[in-house]
Amino acid sequence: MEKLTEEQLKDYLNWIEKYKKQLQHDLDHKKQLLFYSNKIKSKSAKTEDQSALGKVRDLIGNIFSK
Amino acid sequence: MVEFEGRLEQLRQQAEAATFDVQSLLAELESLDAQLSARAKEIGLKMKDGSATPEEKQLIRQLSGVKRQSQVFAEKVRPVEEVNMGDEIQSVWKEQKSKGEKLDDALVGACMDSFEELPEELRAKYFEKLKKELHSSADEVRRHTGLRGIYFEMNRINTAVSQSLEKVEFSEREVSVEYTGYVEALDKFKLTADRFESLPEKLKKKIAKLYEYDEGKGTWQLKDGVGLGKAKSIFKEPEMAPFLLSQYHSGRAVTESKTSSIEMDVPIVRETPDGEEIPYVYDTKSYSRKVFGQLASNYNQLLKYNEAVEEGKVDGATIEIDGRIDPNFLKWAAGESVYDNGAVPNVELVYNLPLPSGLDYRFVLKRGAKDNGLNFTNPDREYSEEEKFIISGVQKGIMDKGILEILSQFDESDFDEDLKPFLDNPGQITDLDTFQRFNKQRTSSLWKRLLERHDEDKLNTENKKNAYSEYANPEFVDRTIREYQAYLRANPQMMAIKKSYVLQEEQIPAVLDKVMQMIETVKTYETERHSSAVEKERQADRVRLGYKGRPEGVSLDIEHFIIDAIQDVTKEGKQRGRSYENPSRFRTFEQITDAIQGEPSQRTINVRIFDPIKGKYIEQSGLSQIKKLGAQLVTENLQRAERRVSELEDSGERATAREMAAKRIEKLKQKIKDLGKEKGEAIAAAKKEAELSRDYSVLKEVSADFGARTLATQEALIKVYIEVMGGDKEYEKIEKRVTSVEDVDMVKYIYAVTAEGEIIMDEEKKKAEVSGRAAHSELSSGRNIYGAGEIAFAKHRESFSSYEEWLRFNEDYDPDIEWHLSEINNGSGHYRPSPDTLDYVKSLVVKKAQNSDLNTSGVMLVDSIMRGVKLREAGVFS
Repeated sequence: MEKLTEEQLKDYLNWIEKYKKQLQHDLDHKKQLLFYSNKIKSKSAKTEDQSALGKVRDLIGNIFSK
Repeated sequence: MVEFEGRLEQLRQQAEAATFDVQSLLAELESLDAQLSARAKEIGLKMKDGSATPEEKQLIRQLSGVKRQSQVFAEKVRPVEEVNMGDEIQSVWKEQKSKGEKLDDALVGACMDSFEELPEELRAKYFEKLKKELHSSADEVRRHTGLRGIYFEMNRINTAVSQSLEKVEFSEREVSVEYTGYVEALDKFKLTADRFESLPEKLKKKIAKLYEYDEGKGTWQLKDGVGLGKAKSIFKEPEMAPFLLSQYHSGRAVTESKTSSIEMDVPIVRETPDGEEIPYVYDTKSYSRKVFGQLASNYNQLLKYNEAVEEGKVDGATIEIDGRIDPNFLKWAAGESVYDNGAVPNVELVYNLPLPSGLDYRFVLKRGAKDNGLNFTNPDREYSEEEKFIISGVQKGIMDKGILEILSQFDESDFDEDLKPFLDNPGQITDLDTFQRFNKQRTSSLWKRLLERHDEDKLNTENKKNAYSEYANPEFVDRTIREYQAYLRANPQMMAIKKSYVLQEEQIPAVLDKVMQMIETVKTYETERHSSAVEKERQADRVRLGYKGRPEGVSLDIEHFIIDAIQDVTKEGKQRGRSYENPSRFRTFEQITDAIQGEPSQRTINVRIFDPIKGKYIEQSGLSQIKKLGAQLVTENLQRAERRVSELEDSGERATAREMAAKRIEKLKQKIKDLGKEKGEAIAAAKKEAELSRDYSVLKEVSADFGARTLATQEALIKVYIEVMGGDKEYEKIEKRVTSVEDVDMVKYIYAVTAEGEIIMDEEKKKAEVSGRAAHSELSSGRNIYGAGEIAFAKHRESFSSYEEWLRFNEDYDPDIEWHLSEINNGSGHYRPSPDTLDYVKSLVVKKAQNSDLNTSGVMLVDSIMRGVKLREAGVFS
């Protein structure tokens, strides 16, 4: 960086600011995606729990109907 | 210097700070990537054992999308050293050329221009694309078509940005769609051993590896345990693709649920009513050598877009095609009949047609069901006559879907003998020159057929789309109105000419209602007439008078009902609308003939003058001006000759000739001067005399006498100058001269012959009176006619090829001569009757004029339509 001329420095600054913006954008996007994927994970876990609960209920129902 | 150093230091610090920020962002991203990839692995495992939920399946697409996105991203943002991309592309171009690679300079140049115009955000992406294509080791035609495709995409992005009719946004958006698509391979197909043997070796091997042959049935069956996905590549080969595609066309294709994301070529976003932004798919397809629609993936892509629109994930989808399309694909996508919306109703198809001038014309081949297609306009410019006809052919083809056939099939005879073998598979052309010749002939062939399509409707001989045809229904009318409005929106030049045809959305129902009413009334009348007893007699009468056309006459087509209804709905202020009611406001031929001799003279004289110095023709009109024209031209030409001679003097040319004529020139010049002086004196004397005798005519005589003498002397002087110049040929280069004189005293009426044998007429308004005459359809109340056009009465119609001839005519001219019948033509844009009707109209006219004094003997029958006279309102698109 020490060797760059003013012109080159300006170009570099211009570019790095843009790069920063893009990275920020990408970061936001990935954060959202992670948040969403965690939500789906807990939801699918819940569905599994519920279906297990349902099975127990059915079982109990069967016992009583006999 | 200190200050400079300070600023530099400040910049350096800023740069270091930004670099630090970027490094920490990168670190954060890395940790996120790790978490996301862990999630992806989990879901991947669940997918294997089949326990993944649909949401998870969708998520995995998005996760893999992220990876792709970061690749694009890496291409997009580049370090400072490589910023000047334009130069780099140019150097690759030069390097390739120096290696002897064939490249179309015009195309690369156009690519460079488009590249320089690209929005900053997209330059890196296209820089990579262009560089890759220029470096490509594929054959020269493949490289050319590749470049052409990139150029087309860049050009469309630039156009979208510069027209700003759509919002172009550059942040990458991912739209993932779950849709019902076609299976891209067959598990079973019929192929005899002989035909199998004729396939390329590589393909045969592939088939034999995956399929088992049943000799008895001649069928191939996928081997047990082989996944269908493995066979996909077999059906991408041109020899095998038809097996698969024919199933798509016939609707027998096997479908499956697919998920994939949409990539945006041209990133457009639309705003929803609640302020949210959603993407609009705009995809460009440039197919100059291959054919769009010959791969299974082409079909699935459109199905995907169709579903994305259906689900509201995108606002709409447009595919713009440049080049070749498979006819069956087009029929599949757009539907074959006028009312068939095809397999992908939500997808709009736009076609890009090159015109003879080298510019493009874009049009909507098939509208999307939501009718919210891509907003674009064709550049505001003058089209040549031929181009106008081509465009009219396009629009006509769109209305009855004939365009599908025109765009995708070719007339073999339009191609050079050596190109014919490539017609079915131009993919085999590998030489760039041959390919460009092929392309040129392909577009010429296309123009030829579009011009033919335009000509087909020049005359209305079929009565195809009339009030009692299959087209007389609200759906077709509504579609035509909308198609027409879209056409006007896309062509600002036409819009400016046809302002009164532009409708607001809320006016469309009123036009539709009006058209349907008009159609109903005409339909009732015509059906009753056809079955009536009196009609039989009338038809016999017509035939006796020389009628050769269809017994039902020439009908008005729906397009013209629409034109009239639009004119009526959009009329403003004092403008007259259009109405089929109350035809008694017009006059009959008998009424006009009775009154014609009272019509005042309408003599007009038009002179065409050629100016060789400016290389232009000039028009002049008006009797008094033209009378003076002769003397004016001599004076002007004398000046021109003088100037020419003095030029010769300056350059020292023709010295001997000048010397020889010098004395005569002096003499004649002096004579002109003397005449001027004498004229002054003579006029002064005549004035005195006239004041005494009170007879001023003597003044005129004196003036005319001197005028004639001066003119003769001037002409003599010109002759000498001609000698000096070196003869008549030299003089022709400067002489301003009359090339033709038209002297006409004529009055024109428009007419329509009704089923009852009446000739209904209305005076043709002159150019200045733009408020407009009636339309032929008004004369006939929209009903069928047996002749329509113009009838002209004239006192004289003369044309002369020289001014002197006209002078002689004008001397003997008698303004009191009677009007006589001069011309009958078929110039009606509304009906476009065949010239065959003219004989019948003439007999009818002569019969009706029998009891009047009108002279009908010199009448000319003129076929205005075939002579190429521009007809008013010949169609909505012309």
